[in-house]
Amino acid sequence: MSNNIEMPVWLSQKFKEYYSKNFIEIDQIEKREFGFGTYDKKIEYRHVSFSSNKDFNTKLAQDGPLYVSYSAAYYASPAARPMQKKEWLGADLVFDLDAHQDSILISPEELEKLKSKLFLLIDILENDFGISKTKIKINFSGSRGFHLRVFDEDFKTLGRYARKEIVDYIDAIGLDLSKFFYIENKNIVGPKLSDWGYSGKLASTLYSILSDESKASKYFGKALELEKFKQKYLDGLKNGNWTFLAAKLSKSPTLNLSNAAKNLIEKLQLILEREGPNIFSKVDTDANVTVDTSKLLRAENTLHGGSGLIAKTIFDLAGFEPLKDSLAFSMKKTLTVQVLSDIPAYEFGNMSFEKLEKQKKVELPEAYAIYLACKKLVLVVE
Amino acid sequence: MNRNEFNLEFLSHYPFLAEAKKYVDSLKLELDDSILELGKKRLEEGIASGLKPIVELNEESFKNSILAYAASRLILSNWKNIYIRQRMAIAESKLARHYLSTENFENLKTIAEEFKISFSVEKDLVYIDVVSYLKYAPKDIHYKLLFIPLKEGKVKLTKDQLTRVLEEAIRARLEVLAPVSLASNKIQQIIKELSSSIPKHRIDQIKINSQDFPPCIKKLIAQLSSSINVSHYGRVALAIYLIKAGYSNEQIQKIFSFAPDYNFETTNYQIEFIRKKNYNMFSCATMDSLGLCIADCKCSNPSLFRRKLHLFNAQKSVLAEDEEYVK
Repeated sequence: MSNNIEMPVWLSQKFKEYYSKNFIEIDQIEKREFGFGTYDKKIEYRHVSFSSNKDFNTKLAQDGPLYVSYSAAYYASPAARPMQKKEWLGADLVFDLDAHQDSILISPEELEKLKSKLFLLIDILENDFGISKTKIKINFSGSRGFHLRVFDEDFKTLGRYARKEIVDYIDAIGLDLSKFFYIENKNIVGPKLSDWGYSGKLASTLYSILSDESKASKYFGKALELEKFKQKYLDGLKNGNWTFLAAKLSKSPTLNLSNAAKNLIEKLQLILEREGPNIFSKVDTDANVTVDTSKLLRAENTLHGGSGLIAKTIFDLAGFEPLKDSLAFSMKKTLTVQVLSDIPAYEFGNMSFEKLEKQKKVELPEAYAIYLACKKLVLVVE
Repeated sequence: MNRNEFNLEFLSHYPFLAEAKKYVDSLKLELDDSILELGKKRLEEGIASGLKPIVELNEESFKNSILAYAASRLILSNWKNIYIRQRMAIAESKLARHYLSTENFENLKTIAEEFKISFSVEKDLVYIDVVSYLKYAPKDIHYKLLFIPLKEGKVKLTKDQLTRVLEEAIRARLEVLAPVSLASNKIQQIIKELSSSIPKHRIDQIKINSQDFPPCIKKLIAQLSSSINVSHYGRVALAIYLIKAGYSNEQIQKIFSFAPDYNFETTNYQIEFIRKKNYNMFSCATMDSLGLCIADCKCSNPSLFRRKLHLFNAQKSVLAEDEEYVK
């Protein structure tokens, strides 16, 4: 190899090698729209379709595209343009979770945090929406996050508004607590433990806070004389009568029910804001991806041109380690690279790498060299 | 099926059911002017003030009502007017809801099945699958999924909520018309006559500088002017915005007059109510949660859009100058 290796061409060549050895299978491929990207642009061209997985894999092995995406949607004519001519038939329900990080290198810690959000999402999909785990597929995005796809015929036909409703539910967007309370027969009636949906979640949240002495005193302080009245508060949450709790929180000596309810709701709002992600599931999914029923998403098990990692289908989420389990290239073969900018010490593929200084030439395992080359931090020289 | 086996009273309440179509087919009638006149009357009533329940409770009256519906659909199919189509879909679905509210659960099930909605009942509460709910739930904050009991893919509704969901399912169904090429002279004549009853004024007759409005407001106006049904909160947002923008009741009425379910008195009452309460414009976050936000305008409230836009343009002009300087 010469010193003037064209990185886009060289990377594409490496990707071709991967695709010639790995067969990628897409569900109902003939109804999907595809998009492909280059070194400089994640989607360079779209409106492409394939009649079979075989044709698709031939294209991958021949062209070695750096990015491969396909539609969550199913179309009668996926390659037709403009969009209306494609004839939308439905779309998988998809979720995109991305880590918020500034570093150019993938942070395994951030991805680990994201995994717990993903578990929350799966929990809501299963327990609230009744979607069986067998209909859920998760894959690593190949970079900073995860994609979750629901393959369920019923959900497929939902439009944008319905999908926005699902996102709002999952991320509790627009949750107005006052909607759960009303005054009836001189009582403040509100959520109870047996309630479904957010009403039940609210009651059980309060129940667990009141049952936890340190948390209860943190939010309700002495005003509640906790020990003396705790059982009464807890009973109130069981039967949905919040009058006693509201009365104790009320600063006024004479109880005005509507003021007491208002005061109670303000207090609950404060608790939820503070306990936020721990209580009401804040999955922080990218709403646009879920709502946009013609969005293209990275094809699972293809390579991500910004990392050289596999957008791997995940079967064991808890045990999944992106920087170990989604390597496409060898950690044994080595390549010489020229470092383009300082790279901090980093753990990659079960190995620890020291800090790499700008302009130095170093020998690195192929997989790590490709990872850094995709991030434009090194040039492969030989 | 023998003609006598049809429950005409039931079908006259829900003439959009497949069973009603079967009944009409079973009559083997020639499509004559008298039947088309029934359809015309139904359209006149629906467009003008909404459909009224049947007054004369006899077989002849039920039969005529079913035929009137069938004929009105035939006329609508030939009348390429989205406003009328939506207004009639609302009128028909509202009339259906009037009857639905008095039905027992067994009959409600029969009607729901038509829309592939199945539900179970326990202690007067209805359990329906979340997908059916999401498809037909009204775009109204009270029906937002966040506030609805949801567990293991089922939502729990009251009977009244169910009938509102069914009303939406009926409306959505009736907005779609089968393409029909049969357009007799009589149908053309009826369409011509009825056309004169549609409001003729256009939105562009009043002075709106649409450049000044944020994208969300522009979209709401565009939807109304195309007679696309806008949610209750969308209308409230639009009314608040227009009031704050200094529009008179009359000018606001003109914009709302294209709503498929437009009613002068109701609109006037609501505009006056919003004026009296002096509501603040919804924030962008609220607009977003109501599904009304359509663009990233980088402002916190639609009423601040112009100011933000000017600021943004000002910054951009500085940057452009910088670039020129570098070159």
